[in-house]
Amino acid sequence: MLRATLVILWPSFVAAGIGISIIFTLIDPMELVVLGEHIRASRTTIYSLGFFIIWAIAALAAALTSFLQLGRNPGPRELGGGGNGADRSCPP
Amino acid sequence: MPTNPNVIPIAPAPAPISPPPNGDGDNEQALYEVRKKIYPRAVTGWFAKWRWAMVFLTQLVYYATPWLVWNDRQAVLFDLTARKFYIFGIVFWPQDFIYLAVLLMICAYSLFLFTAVAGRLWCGYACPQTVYTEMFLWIERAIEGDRVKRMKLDDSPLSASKFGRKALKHGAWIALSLWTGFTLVAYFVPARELVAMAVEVRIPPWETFWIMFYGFATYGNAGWMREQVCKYMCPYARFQGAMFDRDTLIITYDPTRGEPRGPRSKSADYRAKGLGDCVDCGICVQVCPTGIDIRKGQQYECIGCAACIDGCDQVMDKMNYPRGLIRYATLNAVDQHWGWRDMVGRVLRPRVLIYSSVLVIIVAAAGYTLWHRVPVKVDVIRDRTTLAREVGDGQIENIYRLQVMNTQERTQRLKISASGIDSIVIHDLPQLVEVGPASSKLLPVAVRVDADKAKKGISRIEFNIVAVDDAGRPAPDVFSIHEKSAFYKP
Repeated sequence: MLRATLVILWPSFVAAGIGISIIFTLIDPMELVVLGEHIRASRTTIYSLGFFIIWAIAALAAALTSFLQLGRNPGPRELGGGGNGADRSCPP
Repeated sequence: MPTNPNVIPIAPAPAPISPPPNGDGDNEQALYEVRKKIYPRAVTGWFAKWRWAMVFLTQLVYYATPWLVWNDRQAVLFDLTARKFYIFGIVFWPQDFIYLAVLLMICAYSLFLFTAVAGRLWCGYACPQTVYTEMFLWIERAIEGDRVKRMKLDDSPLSASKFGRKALKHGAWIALSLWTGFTLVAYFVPARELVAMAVEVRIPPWETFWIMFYGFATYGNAGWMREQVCKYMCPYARFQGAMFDRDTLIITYDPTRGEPRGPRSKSADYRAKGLGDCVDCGICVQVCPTGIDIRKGQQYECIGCAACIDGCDQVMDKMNYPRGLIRYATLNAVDQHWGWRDMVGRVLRPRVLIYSSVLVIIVAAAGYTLWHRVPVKVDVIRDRTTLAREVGDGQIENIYRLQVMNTQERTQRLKISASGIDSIVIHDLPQLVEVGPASSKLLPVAVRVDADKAKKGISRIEFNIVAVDDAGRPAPDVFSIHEKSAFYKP
């Protein structure tokens, strides 16, 4: 389960990093109007919150993909499908 | 039943889904693989020295850069709140976004090139995951001892001494992690200010959060997850195989020389007993940070750190056998018993040439545009509220807003004029416009044209911006910018 969580959280983290860089390079958050009002928070707050919002959305997509893959496709063994991958023993 | 290729046959799925042929149960169970903790044994040797050299080099750059000073400011500062990136003499604005994309392309192609030539050099020597794991392992060894001692300690029941050692280790790890997180934030908030704030315990909440976040990621990745990051989380580990071919330098075990493996006494004539050079001591497995056996052949878990080469070479030295039973070689070289000369002769193959030429072109283009970068940028925005109006003396007036950005760190004096229609004149602008260092200015500009000179509707006009010195002459590093816009006559 831990590994499934990592496989979901990590790629979405990378995606959020790329997303936030592109969005806020092109758009100055100080010029954003949300629900008819200018945002009052500082740029740092908006960058940080924006990052987590994108991360959450990307993680949702990744989680759905993982969920839909369950039981459909054994997948590569190392991804957690098929064999257990624990056969590489380490002699003492 | 006749099949129509255009129709997807829909049939009930066979239930229950049968387990995969060589699997050991259903998928849900397979997700819960219990990780066998790996206790990498310390290794010394030529490649370990190189890895430590890279640890020092990369971390010196990482930890020291925020403290460098340039033009009385932090030399490298990504000032997100002011939306400016300072990198030594250059100030990047959001408009320079293309350079970020170019930088990413350069990194990607360098990685492709290195991978095609020499496999996972990045993973083995420079990847932060490897570098921090190496540092964390060093701390672990210094406090808990080498492999066997660590295994014994982990097996022993909890005692005061065990607790003390573990607490010391985690304390040292956390201290290093926090410093790493602090350094990361110091790239975004001036390092000296950050230290001052830390001393007074008033680092703002988001900065505190990001220090903790990155510190926690470092602690978790290098202290706990280690090889699992490479095995399960790293996308590069999965796609690097696409850059490989049979002439890529990888870490290989020479089975024709090593097999059949087996223990023997140093004095015995092992060849007479039918044995190969591998004494089956297992050192190569014990030193492996990902816990694989390189003798099983090329595996995606291998991060190319060459610890097994160092380990095996030491054993070969002790046995008075030639070194290189495990060595850097290409698959072709191992199969066909080639030497270095043959391998080097195969380096310049189409794949490598293509990656290199793309890389050279990108670097050259980026260098050229950076060198010829005009230090002032101008955006012209038409005033939307009044398209045009008549003013006295039979003239038509249009209003614009000129956003003038000075990307250099000294004041720029600019002469601004308009052209494109006879009699065009900027009505209310001073002779010279001054824009301070690394700042921008918004200039409302009224452009007037004699009513009889302009045609009805839209005419193309241009704003011309020329840099001048104090006396109003064109500046030595003269540049001029021409920004197009439109003039409207009702």
